[in-house]
Amino acid sequence: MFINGKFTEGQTTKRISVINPATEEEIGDVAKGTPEDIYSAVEAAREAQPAWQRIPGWEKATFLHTIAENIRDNLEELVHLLTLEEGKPVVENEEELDWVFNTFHYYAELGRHDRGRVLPPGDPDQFNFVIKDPYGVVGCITPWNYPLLLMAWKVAPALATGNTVVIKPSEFTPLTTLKVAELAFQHLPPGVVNVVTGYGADTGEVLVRHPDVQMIAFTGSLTTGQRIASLAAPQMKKLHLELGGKDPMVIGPDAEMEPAVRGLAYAALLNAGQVCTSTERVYVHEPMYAQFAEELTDFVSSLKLGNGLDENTDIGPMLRNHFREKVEGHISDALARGARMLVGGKPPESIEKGFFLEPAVLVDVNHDMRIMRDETFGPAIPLMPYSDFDEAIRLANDSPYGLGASLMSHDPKLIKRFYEEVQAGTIWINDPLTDNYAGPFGGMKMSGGARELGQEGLDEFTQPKHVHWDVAGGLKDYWYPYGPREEG
Amino acid sequence: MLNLQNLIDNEWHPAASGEVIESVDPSTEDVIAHAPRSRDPDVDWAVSSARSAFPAWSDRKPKERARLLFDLGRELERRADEFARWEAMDSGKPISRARGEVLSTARYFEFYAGAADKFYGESIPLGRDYMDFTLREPLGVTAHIVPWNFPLNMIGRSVAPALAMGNTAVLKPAEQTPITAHMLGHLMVELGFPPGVFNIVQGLGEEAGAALTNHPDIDSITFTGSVETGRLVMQAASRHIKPVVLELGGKSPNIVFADADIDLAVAEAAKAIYGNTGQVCSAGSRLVVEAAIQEEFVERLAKHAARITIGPALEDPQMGPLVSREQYDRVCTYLEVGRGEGAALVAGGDRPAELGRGFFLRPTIFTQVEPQMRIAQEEIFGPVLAVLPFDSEEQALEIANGVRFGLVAGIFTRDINRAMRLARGIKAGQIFINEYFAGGEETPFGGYKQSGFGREKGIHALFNYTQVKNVAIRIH
Repeated sequence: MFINGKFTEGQTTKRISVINPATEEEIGDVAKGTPEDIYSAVEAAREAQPAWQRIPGWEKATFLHTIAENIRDNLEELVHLLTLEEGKPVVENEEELDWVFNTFHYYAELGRHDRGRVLPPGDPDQFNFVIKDPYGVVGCITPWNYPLLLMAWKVAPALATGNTVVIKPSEFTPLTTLKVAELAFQHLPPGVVNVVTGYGADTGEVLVRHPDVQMIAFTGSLTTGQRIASLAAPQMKKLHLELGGKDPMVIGPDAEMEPAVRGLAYAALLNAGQVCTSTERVYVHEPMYAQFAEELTDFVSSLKLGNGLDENTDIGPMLRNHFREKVEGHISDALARGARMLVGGKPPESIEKGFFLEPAVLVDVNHDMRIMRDETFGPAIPLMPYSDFDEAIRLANDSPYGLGASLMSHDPKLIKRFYEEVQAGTIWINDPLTDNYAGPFGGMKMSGGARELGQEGLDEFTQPKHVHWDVAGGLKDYWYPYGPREEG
Repeated sequence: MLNLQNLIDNEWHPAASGEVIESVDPSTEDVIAHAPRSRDPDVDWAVSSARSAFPAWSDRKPKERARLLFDLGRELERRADEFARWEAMDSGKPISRARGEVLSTARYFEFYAGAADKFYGESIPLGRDYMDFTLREPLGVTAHIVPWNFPLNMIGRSVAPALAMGNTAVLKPAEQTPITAHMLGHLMVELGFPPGVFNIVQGLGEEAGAALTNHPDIDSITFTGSVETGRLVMQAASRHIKPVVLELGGKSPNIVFADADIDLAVAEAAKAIYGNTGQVCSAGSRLVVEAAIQEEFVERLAKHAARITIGPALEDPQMGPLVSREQYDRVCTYLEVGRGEGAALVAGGDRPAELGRGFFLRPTIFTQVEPQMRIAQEEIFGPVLAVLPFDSEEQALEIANGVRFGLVAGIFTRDINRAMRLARGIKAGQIFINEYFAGGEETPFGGYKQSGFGREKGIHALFNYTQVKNVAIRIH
């Protein structure tokens, strides 16, 4: 743990062991944090916050740039450790780390340039302006699929706007976050960033309930998000929730076959399908449906499963067996209701250890099946035909989630309809899952309303304060008394 | 016959010299109005009226300025027929087009009325020991010199944002089209705009216009017109270090690929060059067409052009006359230049035989045009199209960018990826994809290269009429 600028094992001797999902071997252990550890971390953050808020923007920017540079100076070590504890291929972890340090660079400068507004006066003697206040202490509860990237998307804007943070990483992947604390957070004033490892019940929930924590930023499942919301509600706490998705991809009638097949495989199978914005539902124009399914099956069959450290690996393991079992459950439910599986859907026979699952392609699916309703979070691609674009849009919107949505088309009429009518926080045309630092990322509907990245991702960590200042002095004719009064 | 006067301090005055200029209806060649031929003393008086009105107007609550501008928009809409009739007679544009232009002018007053209390300064955090703010303040007295091709509309798009931001204004309408400005002035007085907030001096560019641009007590100049006059305006502005917004000419390419919807592209190419008789700064005066379809396309365009009805503005033809004898002669000179350079005249090039009076010219098309010919490089400002074929996308881009102007470009293709590539590559202030003149009061408008600088229309225009003041306060 990292509390008040010091590494500590906390107030416990109990440990949580960390497993490599590709080998099922233990690669390390961390302290099993307690409520007392959260109290210490929150107190350190609370005490550090007023001074952190008041340091000038350029100085905060320097601190954030230094975080970024410290991470960049240790890329190889971090990529290796991330591959060991999370499992995805090295190339994907290099990409994650690239995002991590650039996010700190980006928010260093966006924070430095951030400013409020001066309003047109309601009256020439009035001076009205808006400044942006930090919330105070922000609890950042981060997930295991992109442990560092999703930490950076929260911590960088939180710090840039004058908040201090307590990070509670996933119990599955705490090692990289602690390593970043060691390499990149030690130059910060003590208490500005704290890391407490542990399980949700002992640490995460304590953080959410803590009255001195004014905001919770969380990425994870809908169920956990709902739990956080109900715990935080009595305190009217600011919530920043980035929850699950069931992202659709529509293959337009005019789509080019090979880019559509390859783009879909990337969108659905990146990180073994364990991305909140993984494509999990695919709608193909009926005339090309059969051929599309065939070409997709051929391409998916050619992908190589293996340890993420192996440079030939396309797809690594899933994180744990129970996540794999959930995907298998979605597949068997679909098959029982009449779907057909064209390839994959089972652990590979050639690999003995590790939580691997061969990517599956399913056809003849419908919206009664769990695989088209619930978040699957694994390497399964269900295809469904549509007859016209109205139907494609209706199907795309037929979900309680609204995180991302993709379209493969070069027809501006379809592109505009898609981005206007599909309810999702990010729309990708022809290039699924590519983000941009300057643009907001987040969900509609039950995917949560938070936005990360861009100006929007900075504003989430501030609250506007409107100052109305009368510079004329003297009495106002709208003050008491309303009626005439006799003198004396 | 109308006897127009200058509007100064909400009162109507003839020119100090008593001289007048005649305004001619280009459809009939009849004189329909006399306007004051203003010179230095008239301009001086108007500027000092605007200067006196400025402190109170800029101190007014933004929502009060907005209320007057909203009223003006609504009243213009109510009286659109009356304004349109005079605009049509004065400028020669078909009556239905004139009406559309009046309604668009109403939209400008509404749009900028709504913006009056929504343009912000910033509060800049400088740490513990300082407060820091930027204020967006009006400039003071803004000068507006508007052209004759969209006489009322151009007033709306430049005067409305200036007044909304708290400036007071002096307007010099074009001498060819003085009438609707005068009518607008009457309406503003009637609606209760305070004296001096909006002033009009009529007259010639080289007299009233020069007096205004050289005046030491104006704070900015917005000019729409030719490059040559724009250069003089910029020189005049340099004397007293005044900011200028220049919206100058164009020689805009309209690029048609073989995969375009050809019916649509033919109709749009005609609209682009024959709309307002070609007297539009953003006219599509160069048809840059894929060589494989050139012959068929030009043939269809020539047929389309031959069916365009021509006549007096009040009869609402598809195309009216050129604005003046001078403009008619200028365009005819370019017809000679084109022939002399070896271009082939394949449509128009002469007066419609059935029309006796008025400055009419048939829709004209030149082919066998080389990119370096004068008719492919210079702004003609009439219904004269130069056709330039291309073989590749790269060549289309090279032709499109191969002029000193950079106002707009049209692109017609069914390949949106190609359209977006060209949109990035073309050096022009606005790009129209699959509809020429696409955009609205909300979209910024202005030029690259010698087409000028600054942007009118949309929220961008507000930057022309405000300046930034930073207030830093040290807390001890």
